[in-house]
Amino acid sequence: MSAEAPPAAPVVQPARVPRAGSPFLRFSVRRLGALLVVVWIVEIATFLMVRVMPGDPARQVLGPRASNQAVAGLRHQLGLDAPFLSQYWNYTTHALRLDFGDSFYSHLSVTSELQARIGNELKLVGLAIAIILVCGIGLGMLAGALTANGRHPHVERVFVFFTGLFGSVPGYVMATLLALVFAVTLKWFPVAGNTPASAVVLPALAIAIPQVALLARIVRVETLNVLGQNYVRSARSKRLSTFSIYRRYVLPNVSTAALTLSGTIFAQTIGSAIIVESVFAWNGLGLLLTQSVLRLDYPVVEGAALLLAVMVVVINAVVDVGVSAVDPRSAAQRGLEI
Amino acid sequence: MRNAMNSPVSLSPRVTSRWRALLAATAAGLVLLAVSACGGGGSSNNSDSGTSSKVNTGSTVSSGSAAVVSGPGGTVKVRSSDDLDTFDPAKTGAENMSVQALELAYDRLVYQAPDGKVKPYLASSWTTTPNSATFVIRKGPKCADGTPITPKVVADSLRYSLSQKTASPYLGYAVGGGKLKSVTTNSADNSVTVTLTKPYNALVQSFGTPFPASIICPAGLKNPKGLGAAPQGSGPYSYDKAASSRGSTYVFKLRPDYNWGPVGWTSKTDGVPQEADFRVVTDETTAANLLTTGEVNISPIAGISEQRVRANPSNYDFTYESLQAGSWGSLFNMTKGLVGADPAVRHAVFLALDSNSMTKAAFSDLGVTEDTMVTPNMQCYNKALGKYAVPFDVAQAKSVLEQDGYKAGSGGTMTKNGKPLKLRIVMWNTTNQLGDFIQQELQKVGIASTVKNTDINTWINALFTTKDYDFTVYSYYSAFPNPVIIPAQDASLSIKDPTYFKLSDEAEAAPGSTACPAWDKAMQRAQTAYIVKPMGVAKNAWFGKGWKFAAPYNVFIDPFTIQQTQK
Repeated sequence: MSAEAPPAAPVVQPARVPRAGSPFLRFSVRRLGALLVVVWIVEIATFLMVRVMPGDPARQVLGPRASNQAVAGLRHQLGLDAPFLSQYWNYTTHALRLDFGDSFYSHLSVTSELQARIGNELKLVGLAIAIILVCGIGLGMLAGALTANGRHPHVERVFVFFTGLFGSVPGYVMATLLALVFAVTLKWFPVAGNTPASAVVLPALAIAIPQVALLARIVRVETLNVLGQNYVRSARSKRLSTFSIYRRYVLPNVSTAALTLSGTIFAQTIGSAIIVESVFAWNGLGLLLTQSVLRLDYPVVEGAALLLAVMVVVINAVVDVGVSAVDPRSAAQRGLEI
Repeated sequence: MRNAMNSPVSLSPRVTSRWRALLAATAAGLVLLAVSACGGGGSSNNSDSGTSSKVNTGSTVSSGSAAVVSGPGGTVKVRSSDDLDTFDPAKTGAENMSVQALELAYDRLVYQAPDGKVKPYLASSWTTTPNSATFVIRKGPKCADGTPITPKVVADSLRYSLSQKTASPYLGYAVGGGKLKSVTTNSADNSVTVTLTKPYNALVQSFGTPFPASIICPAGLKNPKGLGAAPQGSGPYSYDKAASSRGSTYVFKLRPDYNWGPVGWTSKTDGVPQEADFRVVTDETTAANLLTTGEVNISPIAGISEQRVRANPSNYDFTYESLQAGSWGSLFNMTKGLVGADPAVRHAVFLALDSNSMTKAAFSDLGVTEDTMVTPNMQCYNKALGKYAVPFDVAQAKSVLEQDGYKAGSGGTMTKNGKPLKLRIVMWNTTNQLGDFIQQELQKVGIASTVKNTDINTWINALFTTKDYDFTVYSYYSAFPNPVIIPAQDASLSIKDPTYFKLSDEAEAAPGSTACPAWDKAMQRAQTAYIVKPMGVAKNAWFGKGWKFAAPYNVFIDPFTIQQTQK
């Protein structure tokens, strides 16, 4: 008798069902979902933020001579005496339609106030970021090239000193210094305002210089790292020109690092712009936001803060998607695997 | 005007706030008030040749050699320390730029000259009764869109601006404690009559302020919301919306056909700017830089930057200095149950504080000490009332507290019924270290305190909304230089003295020459009942290069005073 047991049924491993669509598309969709959640959180935070600011917008609008009854009447008219959740629901449902209401201060629609300034904001921030990326990467690579393998220690000391110095100067101080030197003394640029076209240069520099210093430090370290890699040594042994080595190996690697940081850089640029715009009377969203906070102009603060926050969140998402597209390995390391 | 409120030294962006505007507006209107108040018994009369009472503006003008250029002037570039909220005279919170725009783009029935006189403008003459004023409207003025200014146009504008429904923040300046009863026209003599429900002796004077009484043309009344974006007036300048940038630059072009300005002013007057460009610059350092480089021709400059500009005479060839109208004053939350409800405590605190030192602490060398709440640049200023100001006397302060039952407790703090005497001091941080100074001075008489040095919003919130304070130093500063601004603001503060408010109401309604004596009684009561102790005001400086001008009350440049002196 055969003691042999019947052969066991083969274990059927469930086949991996390929998910529809490309991995990159799925990643992008996931990122978009996360973006929406972040925007919603920002929207709540913006709503709460303006309401914890000290002061009564109605009293601010009517002034000290107004009677308490008049102030109460305006509070009712502005909906400020409605239940908290009711105010939030009203704000959210209108914000979804991009309707932020009318400014308490100018009586114009918030949308028109934002539209009037968004172009200036993009011009300033765009130029600042361009300066940051070009100069930060350029200076960092140059410093890395000059100081690789312990060469030119004095260059390294000078580089570290000045990047440390400029990286720590507050935007307000940098703006004031630039204005005094290049506008008041040398008269190369206008002191303030949005015209002529050259008026954007000083505020953009005031925003960019501290961040150029910080980015240059990071890029230098990355450059030194790349130059120490075997593939660079191989390239040298094959007698590739220095220019080719930097163009084909170093630049792509440090650019990925810079691109990865660009989301953070953008957020910092927006933050700096809020301060710098006041110094240069640059008519952008930052100046509008600053003034609106002082005026307790809830609708404009909510609209401007939300718009700026959405810009930052969107740019960060675009950067993540971009980095994942051009460098999946890097994305995976950052937990953004496709 | 709000400006006024904001600060003299004001120079911070917040000064910009509406509070200032509020104060500024006030100042302008009140000059007119005096006019009617001092006008005569039951009714008074004014005409082209006549003017009403004069106010010493307290301004000092110094100029270089500057002769006015002959023929038309060029483009004047002016810095504004804050932004514009709206072009609607009835809705504005009276930011400096708003007031300036109203002055340029609108006309008013009467003109408040920089010296405080009230003069004919759209109205060639007027008569008053205690609760009404009849204005004869001159023929010829036209709106920027060509519509003639008629009594009906004026009446419609006033009905809009002065109605309760419109709810102008400054309605009280125009109608006093009452309401608008009616506005009627008379085609026979081309007149408009404004009648109030209660007597108000500042009625005519208030119609010289840019808000809310600037005359709005029919196109604006047809679409009031549109006034948020562009003015609809008949003033000497028209707004060039295409060349302007909201929040940054406001451009106004001279109307070549304008010939109905006050005191004979026309667009052909020598040196009159053909264009006025206003640039919003809140930062004082930046403003000083703009003046230094010639990117603006006229600017108010405050704080440290003022000293920097003044140190280099090549930066300017004309200055205009003005004092705020309405003194800053120490006052208490007099709500029952709080320490400020005790007149002995108020008296002791006032005795413990030296106004000279306080003004210095608040404004450095840019302050002027006052011993009356009504300052010399206001209607009904009476120097003699200074004798009622509580003097600085530490010994007497202690004595007053002891007579009130206080005894020195542990740590030297005065105590009554086991309760230490402690004040919650709330200060607006524009007064620098004044709060800390007061705290130190009060310690010397055994009064403990906490000090909150806050931004204007927090300060105003504490004073008017939460009332979470015992003591503050308040700015009554206004561009409406009439005593009415003081009790008007007190009414919303926690001042509890029915006698004082009764006297103020009587003064507001007192006809003709009885108005100022009535205000004296009210202001005397404010001092003798220890309601408020005057401290001082800030001095503000405007600088110009190539242009001369007047900027009364530090809020706006009178467009009828700007003339070019260099080309």
